[in-house]
Amino acid sequence: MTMLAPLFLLGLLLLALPWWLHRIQTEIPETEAFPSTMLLEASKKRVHVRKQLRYLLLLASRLLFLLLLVLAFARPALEQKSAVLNDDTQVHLIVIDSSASMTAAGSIGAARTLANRLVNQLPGDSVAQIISAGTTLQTASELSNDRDVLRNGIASIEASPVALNYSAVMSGIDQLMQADVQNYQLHFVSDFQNTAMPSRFSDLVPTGNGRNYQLNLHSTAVSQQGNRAIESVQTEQGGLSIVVRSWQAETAEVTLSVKVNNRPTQSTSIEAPGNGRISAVFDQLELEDGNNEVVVEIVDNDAVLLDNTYFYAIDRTPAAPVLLLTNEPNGRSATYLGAVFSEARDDTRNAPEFTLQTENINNFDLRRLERYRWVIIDDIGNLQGDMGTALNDYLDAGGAIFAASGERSRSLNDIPLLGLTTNNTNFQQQQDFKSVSHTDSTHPVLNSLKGWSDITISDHISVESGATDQVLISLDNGDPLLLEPARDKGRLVWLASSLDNNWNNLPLKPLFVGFMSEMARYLSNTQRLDTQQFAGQHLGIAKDAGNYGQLIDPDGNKALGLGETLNSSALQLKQTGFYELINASGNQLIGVNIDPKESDLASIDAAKLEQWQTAATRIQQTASVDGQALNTDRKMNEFWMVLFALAVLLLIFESIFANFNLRQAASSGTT
Amino acid sequence: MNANTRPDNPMRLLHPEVLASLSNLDLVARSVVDGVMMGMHRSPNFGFSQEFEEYRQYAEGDDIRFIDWNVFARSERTYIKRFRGETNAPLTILVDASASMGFQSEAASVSKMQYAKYLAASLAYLATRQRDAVGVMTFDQDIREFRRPSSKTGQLQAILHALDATEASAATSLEQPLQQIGATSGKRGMVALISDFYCADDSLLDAVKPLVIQGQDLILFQILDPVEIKPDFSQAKLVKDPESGATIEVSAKFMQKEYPAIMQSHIDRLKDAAGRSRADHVVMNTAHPLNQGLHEYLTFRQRRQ
Repeated sequence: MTMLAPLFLLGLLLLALPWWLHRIQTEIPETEAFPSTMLLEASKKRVHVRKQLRYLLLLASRLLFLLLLVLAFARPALEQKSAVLNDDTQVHLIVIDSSASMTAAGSIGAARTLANRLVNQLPGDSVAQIISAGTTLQTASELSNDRDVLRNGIASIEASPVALNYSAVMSGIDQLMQADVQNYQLHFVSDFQNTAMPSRFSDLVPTGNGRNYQLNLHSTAVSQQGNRAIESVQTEQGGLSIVVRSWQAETAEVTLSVKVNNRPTQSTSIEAPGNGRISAVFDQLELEDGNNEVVVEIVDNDAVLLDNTYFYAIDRTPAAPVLLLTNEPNGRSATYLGAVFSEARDDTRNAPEFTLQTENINNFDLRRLERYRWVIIDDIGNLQGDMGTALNDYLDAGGAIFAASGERSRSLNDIPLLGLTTNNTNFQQQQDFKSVSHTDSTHPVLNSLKGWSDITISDHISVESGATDQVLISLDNGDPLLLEPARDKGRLVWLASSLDNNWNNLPLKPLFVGFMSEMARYLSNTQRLDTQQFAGQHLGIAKDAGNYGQLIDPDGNKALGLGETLNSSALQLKQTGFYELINASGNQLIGVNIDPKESDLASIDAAKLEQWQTAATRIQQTASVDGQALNTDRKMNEFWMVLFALAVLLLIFESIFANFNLRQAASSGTT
Repeated sequence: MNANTRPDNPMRLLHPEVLASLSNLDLVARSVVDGVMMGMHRSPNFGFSQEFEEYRQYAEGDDIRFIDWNVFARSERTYIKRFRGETNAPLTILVDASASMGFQSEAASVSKMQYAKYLAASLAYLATRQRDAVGVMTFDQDIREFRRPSSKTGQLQAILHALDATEASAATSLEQPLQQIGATSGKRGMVALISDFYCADDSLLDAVKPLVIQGQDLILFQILDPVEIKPDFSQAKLVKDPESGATIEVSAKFMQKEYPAIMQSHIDRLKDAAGRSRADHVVMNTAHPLNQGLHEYLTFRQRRQ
């Protein structure tokens, strides 16, 4: 045991204090002088002995409390030598493939048997570590020379639905190789699927960082196993198009069944060709509004069962309405925007995400504003009187506005809602074209959009942006084209030019569709997550998209809570099935399936494995880089928290016990 | 106010607290004996006697003051006049000086040892006044000091000096001092044994048996502190035996309810054992005056004559 802060041990001098206090406050047992004890009988109740024991216990508890406190401050630590490493020690890293393909009949069991055999064959002075290889490497046992620890680590490894890539495994092994160990024996136990091979052979070779290592590949692949899998599912004209992939040599009849929202809907049998694909179509699914869970299943068993079930989420949520306030409901702005929103389809829904509702700004009932999550104003110059006040209140209540400029904006001295003063002398004429010189690619609206260089601006309202305003797009003369003022509540984005083709050519470009779609998502504060994911992938949750909420895993357990979605941006999807994100904008289903690459069980040929094994070996006779002896693998396990907790418990005990003693003393004093 | 403590009552002089204020044992003894005598109105049966008893031929060692010179003048023979009171046997006072005798409670103004000294000194003084030869032995488990009975001048002072120098300590053993008395005393006499008698009645009987056989008259003064008779324990206490050093814990209930009965039973057994040995047994409470003891002695002396 070592003390990490030994100076605190001086505090042991404090032990003298309770000892001294007890000495001066000790209630000396009343020994009564009496001529003879010849005629006396000893009491059966040893009151004085008990009293003395209580006193000693109290003193001991106080001394022990101080001792624990001092020791806790001195930060004691147990030096754990997980393994003693020296120049002659070889560290064996036994990496076991735990990807989805290892669920194939007997694969993971064979891998465990192989790994156990390796452990049994380890030389006496060597140490080893067991590692599970899925999407990432995970430690199944500490580095140890205890064979039981290693066997327990092997037994704990189970195949999971995630995919594995051999280059990622080799890269992970590189990171596991410690700086103070020079000699490694790497054992990789896997079924060695072809599909897990990287595109570059060099990625299969660990760099080693100057250490000696030898890679030993141990294959669990048995004879070619036939497998089938549902490769993909897509919606098609109200039905489902399903692609079944077969790696079996012969044509076989396959029965497919579809369940929609846990209700068996249809099933069909198809002839799956040997080593080929076949599509099956299920017409007219009975889908409900909102989210639909569609489970497609190959009824017949084969080598890998996980890929026989496909989880497909279909969103049938109605398109959200977007309000356009204009003084020309049949004008060009309305036409362009209407076309944009009917065109902008959500890939996962195959339906428009938003629908445009055009209203005359002069006749609009302001009470209806609150029905809309965001509003478009094609000419900010139209905002006058009550409308300006109402929109300000709407923003303060958390609403969002995308405002553009138009003919009526020309006469403005101050831009409504923004409070910026226009620079009237800078009104541009048609023949003076401007182009975009800078876009803020960090902004959610603009980070995926390209092609701004094709946009020409013939007219715009020139303003000087405020210090806190965020200029998203600026023109080559320095004027802001797209600007977002900083607000505590609500979102406001202002386009200094028009939404029709009078002042610019933006509405005529394909960029306009993407621009308005991203603007819609940004202002409506929604992020459409990809509804189809592979197990092992990380689900990216953008905090600024308002996706924070709860993420429920396929078993119905909370995978991420509200606070966690606020703080973490990604979650690894470890299970197949339907994950459900529940947030303020509604529920969203995510279907998680195994990576189709895991379904192809064809393994790397022996020659290539031999080549890999040979390439991944680096042995130099001059083992040590700097010629120094290897360090012992030491780990300091601090346990001051335990001591501190014990001290607190002891303090509570001491308080109760001392109180009890005081009451006893008081009662005996009164008798 | 107790009659014995009234200022005009001469018996007040016998109270231990009064005696404790006197500077030496001589004064104590004189005060006690004078007080007793005054209380008894100088009864001729108990006081110094001048009544002629017989003539006896002078022998070496006899006090020449008692030679009858008239007879010498007539017969030229030296005869000694013997009076009635001089025919008594010598008195040997045995004082237990063991550690248990050093006990003194708050209820008593003197320790048992001090009380025993007063009693012994008073007995010695009284015996001397009555022309009795008197000796003293102080003992614990061994004999500390032994002065054979004698009527010589200065014997009383020697006895008082020996008593004065005695301090309570060590354990008690009655056998050795009583054997010594038996071995050295060839003449019938009186033996006053002053002790707290923390011993079994059987062992007391065994110890006094040689003296009884020898014809010695024995009087046992059992000195007890008031607390020994009726202890006042309000709670359980540790009690340490001053002789053995052993400590035991006793409950208040035992000390208040059971112990007095046990002590009384012990006293009764001792009295019975003393009776079987034809000895007198007197219990003396150190909170009470000494007259009881002296009265007992004088009664005993008279009875013996």
